[in-house]
Amino acid sequence: MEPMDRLENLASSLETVALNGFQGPTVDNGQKDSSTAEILRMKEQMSNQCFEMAVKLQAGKSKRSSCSASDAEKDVLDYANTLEEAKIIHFNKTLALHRMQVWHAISEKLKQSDPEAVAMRGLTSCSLDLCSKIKTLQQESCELQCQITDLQKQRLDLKRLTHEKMKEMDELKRKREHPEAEKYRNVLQKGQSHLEKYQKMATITQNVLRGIIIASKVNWRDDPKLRDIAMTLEDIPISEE
Amino acid sequence: MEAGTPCSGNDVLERNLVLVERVGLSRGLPPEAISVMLDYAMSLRMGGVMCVRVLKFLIPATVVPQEAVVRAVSWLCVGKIAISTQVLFLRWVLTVFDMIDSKDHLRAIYGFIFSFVTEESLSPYICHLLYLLTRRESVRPFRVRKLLDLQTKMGRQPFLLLLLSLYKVFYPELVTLALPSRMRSGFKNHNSTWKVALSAVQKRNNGQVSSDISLTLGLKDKTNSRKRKFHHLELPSLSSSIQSNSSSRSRKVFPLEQLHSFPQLLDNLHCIELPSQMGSLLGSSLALCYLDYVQDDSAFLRLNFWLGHALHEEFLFCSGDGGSGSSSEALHFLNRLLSTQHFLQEGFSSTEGFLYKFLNVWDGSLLRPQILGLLSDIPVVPSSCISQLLFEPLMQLFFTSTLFFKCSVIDCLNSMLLKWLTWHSVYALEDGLDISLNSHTPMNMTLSGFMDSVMELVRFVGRLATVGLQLEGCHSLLLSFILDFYETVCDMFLKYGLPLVVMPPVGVFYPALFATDPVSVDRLGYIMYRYKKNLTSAKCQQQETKQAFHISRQTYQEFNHYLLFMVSCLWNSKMFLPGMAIEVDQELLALSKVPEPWTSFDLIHHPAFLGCALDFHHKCWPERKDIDLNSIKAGKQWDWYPEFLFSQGFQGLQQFVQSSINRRSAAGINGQRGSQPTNR
Repeated sequence: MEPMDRLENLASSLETVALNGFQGPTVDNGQKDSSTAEILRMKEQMSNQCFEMAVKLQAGKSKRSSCSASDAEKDVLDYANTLEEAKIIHFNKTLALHRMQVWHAISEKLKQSDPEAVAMRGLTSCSLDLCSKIKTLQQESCELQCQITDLQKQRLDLKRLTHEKMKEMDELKRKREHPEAEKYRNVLQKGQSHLEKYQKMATITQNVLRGIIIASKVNWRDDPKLRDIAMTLEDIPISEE
Repeated sequence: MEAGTPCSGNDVLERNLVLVERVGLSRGLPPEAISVMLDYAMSLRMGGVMCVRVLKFLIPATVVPQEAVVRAVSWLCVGKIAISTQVLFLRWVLTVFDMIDSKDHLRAIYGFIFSFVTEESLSPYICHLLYLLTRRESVRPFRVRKLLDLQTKMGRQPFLLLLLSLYKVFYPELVTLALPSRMRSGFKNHNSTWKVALSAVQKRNNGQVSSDISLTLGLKDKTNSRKRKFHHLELPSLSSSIQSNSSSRSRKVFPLEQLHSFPQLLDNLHCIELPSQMGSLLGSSLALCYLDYVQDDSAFLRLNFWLGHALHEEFLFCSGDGGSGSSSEALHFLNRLLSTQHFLQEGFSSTEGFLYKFLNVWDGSLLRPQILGLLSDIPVVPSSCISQLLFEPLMQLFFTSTLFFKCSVIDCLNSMLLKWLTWHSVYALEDGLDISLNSHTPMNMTLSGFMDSVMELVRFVGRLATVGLQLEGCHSLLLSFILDFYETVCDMFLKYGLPLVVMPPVGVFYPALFATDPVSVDRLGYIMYRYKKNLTSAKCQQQETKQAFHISRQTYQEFNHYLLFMVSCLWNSKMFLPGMAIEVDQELLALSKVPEPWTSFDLIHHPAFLGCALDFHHKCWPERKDIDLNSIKAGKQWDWYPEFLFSQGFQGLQQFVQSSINRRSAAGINGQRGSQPTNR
């Protein structure tokens, strides 16, 4: 708070000035004038700075309130996680303690030889048998699952290979050239361009004819000749280009 | 029951009409009757009202001859019919579309049908009809232009977008519009007028009609020729879309329905024509083979469209006709879909979209095995949306469900993980960074994206498992399914080549360790042993090849923690002591009145192994009356006891002990046994 210190110094010097009855300390006039002017300047500066601080405080308050929402959300998540962890730990400890106590009682009981204990021992051996059965079954199912997964992997691999082969086939089909293409290339190209020209003409004619038929609102189905024409208006395939 | 041509006198006409109407609504009209009546109606011989009336009872019994439809379309061209009647006619055509015997004449008049697309009120139905009829040759540039113009006039209507997307599949360069890759709403179903009557007629004719498809190679998915009650669930019969005597074909095509054996498929691979109704493919495995090899985008688009439509209609929009009667059909349909997806080893995108919507409204018990089976077929979901799409609805269902549902969900997520891992191990490229999914799903996924998704899934199951165990009091059945899952997870690196190791959470490990049945503890031992193997080999590989792995220090720390705890608990009899994970105050322990509480979970006193310990004690000292289990700890018995346990079949425990514990078999010394944690 540097301006405060300066203010304090000036205030103390002002005090001395006042106490000395407005006789300045042994400084020359210029400095005395400058000190009062300086005080006034300081006052201006102070008021400006106070104003700025007030503005900043205002902004800071609003900023804090806005960032406290997102902060609060994060905090909530953190607290929720801590809560969940605490719950889990508590559950585990309770479980351990509970099991320990119960099984201690059971083991004490099993060591005795009254009929209840005998029955319990029978149950225990029964459950051990069941456990071994479960183990064998689990072993089997594990092996089966492994086999299934391997088979699935193989099939998926085959599928991938098939797709690659099909892609290769497509590539080959596209690139394949007719044998002796060099000789007949020109002729072929000329013929093809002719064909395309006439195909285009025919297509346009077909479209026009179709438009006429539609516009004339005639039932083209009834007249056999018209019907035959109408049914063939879709025939010309588009060229591959 | 043929209908004679009605004469024009009013009374006689009325009588005849009523007769035909009754037949139509009860048993359906034979094909000839359909043609006659359709022609009669559309020619407007008796006026528009009669036309509407006739159209309303025009229910076919078997098939609709395509000539009748062609003739009707030509009447449409004449232009004298009222717009509303035209709409009714088009809706009728869409309803009975699957029953039209073949479609090649309709395709021949594609242009005529197309000309109606500019009519605003007819536009949606025309677009739907065109969608069903379009083939590669039908896509012409001027048609694309017309559709685009229409779009600027009418806005981005869904029916226009769907038709344009189909055009785009055939000729992507012609349609340069940006189309959404997945369109949520397909064409609406327009069969409301005829739905009830149609279903009644079909129910009646059930069993009399035998459709065909036996293109199986003796695989599991046999086709069932029963017709469905509700039209939208019907798997249509595989019918040829061209008639055999059309001579104007320029290429020789082999219709799919004539395929009867695999060699035939191979011979004709390049010239097979797909049917117009893609849904019929789901019934036959040969057809599916073909579909899979060819990878035709348009075919998949149409199939997905039909499938999505059928699924939505049955499960999401059913208005109350879907009672108990339809659930067997729905079951059958879903089973067929499941076997198809398993055969192809991938899920359809429309199934995926349907499932995300359905999970939000599902009650958890309707057709549970099928829905969960379909869920496990979903391909890898990007981690950004997996939480919202998949996890949230599953969580909601999980918390309030029965034990069996919880087990089923964990099992379903386990098989989902298995499928993702299998897919990854087959399709990932050698260099590992960029893997692309199948051609008809437009996503690309990098290796790290895939690993993110897997990580999310494993963490999610960890959370589900924790909460599930708490809710169900550590039920052994649930625990066994959870341990199944972690058996898959622990081997992700060695078995499937994915450099990722995720430890089970605290809420799963400790309940498993304190389980009361030896099977669970044994499995836990096995899982820890596999984790150790995976981690050590990952570390070796990392040191050798200097590749960046995704196994963090934290994973190693967690593993070491668990290992230390397990060993000190089981072997060194050090439980409940300060500094451990399960730390209990000494006073509390004293309150429990259990002597030496720190031994209460070792191999002798553990709830799971108590029976074995007693057995062993009896075998060692058969004459002793008072049983002191602590005497097993002394001397040679402590060496023999683990062998005894292993001989009982606890292989997992054996592997764990052998890999992680240094046994100093010093006779008579009850010394410390060290454990071997992995270092980082």
